[in-house]
Amino acid sequence: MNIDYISAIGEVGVFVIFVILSVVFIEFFLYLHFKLHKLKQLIIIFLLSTIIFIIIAKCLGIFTIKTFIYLVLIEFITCFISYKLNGKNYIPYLLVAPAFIGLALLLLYPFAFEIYLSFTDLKLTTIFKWKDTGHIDFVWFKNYINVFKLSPLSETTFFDLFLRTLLWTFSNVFFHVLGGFILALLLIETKKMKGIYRTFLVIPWAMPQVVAVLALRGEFHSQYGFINILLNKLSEISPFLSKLGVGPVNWLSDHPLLTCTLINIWLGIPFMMVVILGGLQSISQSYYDAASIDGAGYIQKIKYITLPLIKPVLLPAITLGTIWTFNNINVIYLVTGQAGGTERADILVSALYKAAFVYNRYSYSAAFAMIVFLILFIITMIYSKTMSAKHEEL
Amino acid sequence: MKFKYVIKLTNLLIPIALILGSCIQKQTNPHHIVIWEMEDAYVAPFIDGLINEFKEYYKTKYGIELKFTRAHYQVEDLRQQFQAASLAGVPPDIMISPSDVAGVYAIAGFIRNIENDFDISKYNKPVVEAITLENKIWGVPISNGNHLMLMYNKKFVTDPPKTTDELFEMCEKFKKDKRFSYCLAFDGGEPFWIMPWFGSFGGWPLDGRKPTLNTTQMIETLKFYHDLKFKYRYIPPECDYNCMDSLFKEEKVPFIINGDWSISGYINHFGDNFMIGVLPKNSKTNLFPTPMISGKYFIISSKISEEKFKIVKEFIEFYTNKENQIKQFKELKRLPALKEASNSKEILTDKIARVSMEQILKGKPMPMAWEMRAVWDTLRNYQGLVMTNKITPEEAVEKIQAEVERKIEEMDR
Repeated sequence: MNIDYISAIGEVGVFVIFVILSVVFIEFFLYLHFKLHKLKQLIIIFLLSTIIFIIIAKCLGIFTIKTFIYLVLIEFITCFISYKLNGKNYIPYLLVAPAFIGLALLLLYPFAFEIYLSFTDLKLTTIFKWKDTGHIDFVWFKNYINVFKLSPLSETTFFDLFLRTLLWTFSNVFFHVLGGFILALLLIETKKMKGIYRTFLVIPWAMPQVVAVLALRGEFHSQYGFINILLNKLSEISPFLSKLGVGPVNWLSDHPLLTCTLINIWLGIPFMMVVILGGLQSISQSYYDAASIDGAGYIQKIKYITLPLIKPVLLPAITLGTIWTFNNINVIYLVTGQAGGTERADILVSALYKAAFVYNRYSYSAAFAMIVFLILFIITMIYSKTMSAKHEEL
Repeated sequence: MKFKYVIKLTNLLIPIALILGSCIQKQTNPHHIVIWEMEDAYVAPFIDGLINEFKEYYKTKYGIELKFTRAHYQVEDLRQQFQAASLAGVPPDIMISPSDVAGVYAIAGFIRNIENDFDISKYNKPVVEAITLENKIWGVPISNGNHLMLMYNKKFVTDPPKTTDELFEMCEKFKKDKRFSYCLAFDGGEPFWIMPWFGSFGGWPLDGRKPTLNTTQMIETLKFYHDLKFKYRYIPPECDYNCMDSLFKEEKVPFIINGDWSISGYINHFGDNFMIGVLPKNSKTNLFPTPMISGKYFIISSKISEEKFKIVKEFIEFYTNKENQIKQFKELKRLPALKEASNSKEILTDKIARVSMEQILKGKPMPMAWEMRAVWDTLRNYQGLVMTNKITPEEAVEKIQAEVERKIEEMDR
């Protein structure tokens, strides 16, 4: 067997064992604290653990004031929880702890570091100093002010980007839902070869996004793309359409945002279709039969039966769709070019990416990311409030 | 909780972890060299060939088996990935790249300056100049040039145009004959392609380290570009690198402006029908276009250990020795960076090498100053806006200058 494969297997194995041993250590550490919950016992444990930590850290050569403070803090929090629990009901804490610590390492630490970074001055000319000394200058809220004052790109301001992002999100989600709904209705009415149609319709979603986007980008090429060839043929066949202005368009250079939107609509419809189809299949036929007896037409059935009954399925899908579309960098990055490309299709997240990795403004980008996060947080809060109000009404 | 099971489990897992751990090849292994490059696919066999030859040579000399890992990236991806990897503390050991990225990396401290480690006097002066910043040298040259030239298909063009008027005449003839939809292909969105024309109007992006873009020369250059697209319609309306390459290879355009890196690919494709020429003199100013001259370089990470650096140094010296530089020219048609190889019979008697050298003499070294990064990023956006009629060249140059100055200020603050 190739030495690379053996090495890779070894790495995975060590990682798995490391995780298991970490879980064992966490459980043992917490169990000891929860069992010895009396104040005197906790003080002894606190002191002993701290001394052991110091010895281990010194032996491993990782002892610094910072690590010492962190360790003391962890020890203190654990002792405090143990004291409060007083030896009762500690099993749930033991069970939840490994997952909580794992999540904290994967999510909370990067998030906390992002907040820290947003108050500092890390950029191209200060990276070296930071890597060498571990010190970055604190600039407090300067980066947050700069997000609104200084453009993250060359031309487009934060507010332009924000409005563009809202337009991008709204138009995409609207057409995703509309297209998904129409296709789901057609599918549910279809009797023959339903599975085949469904498979074909799901292809854009099932395909790796990079492949789908790059393939479609090619179809929007001004000369050799399918869309322009079609428009060209249409204008040749029908002079009337030609007079109306139907003809080849420089999609990528003249209308980059529209091109991205069209591609993303095509990509997003299958997801909504699958979700709505699931909702439609769960509606009992008896509602429609009763409505038919009462003389309701097709539109009335959709308005008064279908839409209200798929709402519980549709609303979470719309929220997810909104967040995904708001944060969708792939389509814009791949369509407008990776080398900076045009700015006229940039939305908040793609501008954020450029600010960080094209213009090397790391702290500024961190502040920018925090603001994007706050916007999304507010949207989610509004959604949660609306949903709970609706539940209360029911 | 029964601790004896926990202890038994722990006793079992620790030895397993130790056994598995011994299987892992440590990242710090000095005999494992990681190279990142941005070359076209056809260059990969050449690089791999030399790597294998060096491995054999090293094994014979020291009895040690080296391991090389080569990863390929697109030009811009390489820049961003190297930056991200350096920040994360896991950069590759060496990188094969043009010089334009080195300025930024040098400022950030990601790369090692090499003037005390290599005998730089062995290499051609202009190619070394292009990787020199504040009297420090940041890379070892592999090839000389990396410059743009006019390339043509001999099936349609017997002699290359000497002036832009001649070029336009030819293009007009092709247009009348309805032989081609477009006459000339180049990457209209990439500012690297605008620089030779900017030079032909008497301009240059930097004066020392000061941006000089708000000039009549830049306005003229943008108008020239705009006219090529809208007035003369000699260039395809939307064309990136892949597009221009395909148009030329599919014989849909007789001319292309491309760099020396593409020559061997075109020779393989067209055979004797391919030839290169010097970019035609600008009839309006009587000046020749000035493509940016640099080369390809080995750029070494500042994080490399001294033990590994010794091996890397030996590898680079092997890769750029006279025999391999001549081999590089024969296989890739890239001019050698090594003086001794440049003066060899193989190079001096080759027609393509002669024209390529003629073009180099008309070019200017690419500024390595990190301010150039601000120029590239800004120009790309505004060039696009002018070419889609969103702003006029006059408006554009003012904005370009202001934006470049702002970016430099932000980086320098």
